[in-house]
Amino acid sequence: MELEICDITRQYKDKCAVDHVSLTLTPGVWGLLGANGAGKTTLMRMIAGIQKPTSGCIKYDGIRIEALKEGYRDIFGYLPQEFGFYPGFTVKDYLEYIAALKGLTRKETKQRISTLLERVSLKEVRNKKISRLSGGMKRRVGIAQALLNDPEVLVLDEPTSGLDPGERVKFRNLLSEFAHDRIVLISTHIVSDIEYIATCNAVMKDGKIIATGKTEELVQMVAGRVWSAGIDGRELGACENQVMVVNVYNEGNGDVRLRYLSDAPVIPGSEKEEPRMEDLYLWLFPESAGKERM
Amino acid sequence: MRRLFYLELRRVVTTRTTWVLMTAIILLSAVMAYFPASFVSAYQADGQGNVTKLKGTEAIRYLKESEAGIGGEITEEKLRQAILSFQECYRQYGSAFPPELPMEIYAEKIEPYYPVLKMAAAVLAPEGVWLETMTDADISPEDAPQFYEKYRERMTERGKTEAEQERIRKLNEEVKTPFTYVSGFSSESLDYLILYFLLMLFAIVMILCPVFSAEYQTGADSILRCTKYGRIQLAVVKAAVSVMIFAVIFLAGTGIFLLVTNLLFGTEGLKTSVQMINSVFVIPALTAGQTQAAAAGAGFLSLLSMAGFTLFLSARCGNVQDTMKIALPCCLLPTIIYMLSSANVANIVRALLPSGGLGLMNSFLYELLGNNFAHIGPFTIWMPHLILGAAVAEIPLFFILAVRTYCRREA
Repeated sequence: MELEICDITRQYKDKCAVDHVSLTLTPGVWGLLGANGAGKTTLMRMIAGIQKPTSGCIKYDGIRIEALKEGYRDIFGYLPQEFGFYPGFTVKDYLEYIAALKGLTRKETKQRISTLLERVSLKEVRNKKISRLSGGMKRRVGIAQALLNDPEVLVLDEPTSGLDPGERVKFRNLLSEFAHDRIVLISTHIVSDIEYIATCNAVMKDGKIIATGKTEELVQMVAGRVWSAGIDGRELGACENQVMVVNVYNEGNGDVRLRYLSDAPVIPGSEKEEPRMEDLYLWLFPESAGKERM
Repeated sequence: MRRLFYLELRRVVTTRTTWVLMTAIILLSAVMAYFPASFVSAYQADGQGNVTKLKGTEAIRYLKESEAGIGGEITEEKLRQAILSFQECYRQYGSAFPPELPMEIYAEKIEPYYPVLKMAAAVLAPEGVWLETMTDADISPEDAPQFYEKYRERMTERGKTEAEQERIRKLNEEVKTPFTYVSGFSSESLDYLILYFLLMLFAIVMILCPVFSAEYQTGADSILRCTKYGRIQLAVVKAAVSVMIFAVIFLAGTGIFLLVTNLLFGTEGLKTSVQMINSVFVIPALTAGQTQAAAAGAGFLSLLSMAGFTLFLSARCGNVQDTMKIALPCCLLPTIIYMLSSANVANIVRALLPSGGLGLMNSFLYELLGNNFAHIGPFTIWMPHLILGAAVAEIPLFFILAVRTYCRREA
């Protein structure tokens, strides 16, 4: 099983949202990292077949997805960034409707809905209108609909936005179980989600894939650049101007402990730290923290 | 697909806007059908100088009795009697209408002949003279034998060109003479049917505007499109559900309207020749009942054509508001064009518009009862034919375009 993105480009009037991207997705969870406007959503929509590339193509097991048509959509699940639904639908009605669109039989529909509602903890609200649910619950309905047809390829655009930490853990577990022998592509700003479950990652910037690899391989890009140091709280402002601060931990006695990125230790007493995905993200996208790379 | 159809139907019908509009427009049909019956009035003389004004169903019942004498075929003899009665009144009172003519005499001598007199005045009196302005010198009982011959002549003269006259002659030659009159049919019931169709048009357009565009607007489209049956199958199901909802509204609404109308007026009047309903110069060979059926049939086609057009707009526009901004003015566009111009091009354009058969003064019914022709190249086409032809061609066209536009659109 292989989803091959072959040199695709998506050009809008004045912007190239996706610029000659090539990537081969194999079974497992793939994290798609990138700042806002990097082109992640456009890439995902092209994989979903709801936007056409200006050039290039996407192949599933060697066949172009446009040629596969229904066959591709039958093994595909998608949760867009903005989860749209008919306001009058209850959770159950909505899932039944999507199940019919996904070609599930009546019996399969009943079983799948029951299982999924249990998995995403929505059983109690199955007869409630979606419009009356909280943001996190709506998101879980979105996740459930994407999983209805037990897809071989699952694309989730910001699936954990709006979920509380407990729900995120549940979601990560659900996805880890599900991803066995399936291709799952997730884009998220919550780097920890990817760090825990992604078997591979692709990093996008300005419409291009700038790096791919396993989490532990990618984080090596910032190995030797992550430091921590304890300072007087009053010096924090000055330090923030000097280095890219990843984290500030208040030690309680007026002192703070900084985790920062720099090619070399800048603050006296700095200790080298093990790099993490968050460090890599900030290193690659300093603008997302309102900084320029030091 | 059957399951998807059922679920989509359930989704649309349970949408508040849909069921509120559906219920309202269906219930309105009974009210609209009642109005024309309530407008009927008649004067009843008791023979002792007292005249009572009757209204509504009472007036309908009374007119059926008082007009019994002219019921059936309008023969030379009936025409002669009507003209004689008119002349008698006119010569004695200087007019055939109140206030000069006493109400009692009017109720006795003019009212029972009114439909025949109106028709006789239009055909036999000089051009530009009608019943209310006609004098005893304008018409004579001796003209009665030539009535139908003169009718054909004057009917043909309604054509503005030779080609139009030839078309009128051909279309009109099937009209059977003598005409038939059976009391109990009101042209106002047809007017109200047309007005009802116009209101139904707005309701249908408002129900159908969100079919595709609401999905684009809410973003639901992105998910639906990625499903196995989320493209052509979903578009076809949506179009089929729209047609079904339209058909239910139309059949229920029009059915109730016709049922109430025909219960109030009675069905016997449906045998009346269309030439005796309002103006005698009507081209086709139809009875009142057939005219009613033709108006309903053409209403169905025009409404369905506009339903298809609305679906197409819905598939094309990014949100419901934009769809409505285009679709609702389109409902009135033929009426606006009719009011602005009667030029050939204007006639063609309004007939070709999807709502071309619907309107206040420009509907299919008024064209059926009128003498308008469109000239397209060497062809002279009677307007009702053009309106029907356009609707029949546009129905599949717009539905196919709607499905195609939805399928080709990028979410």
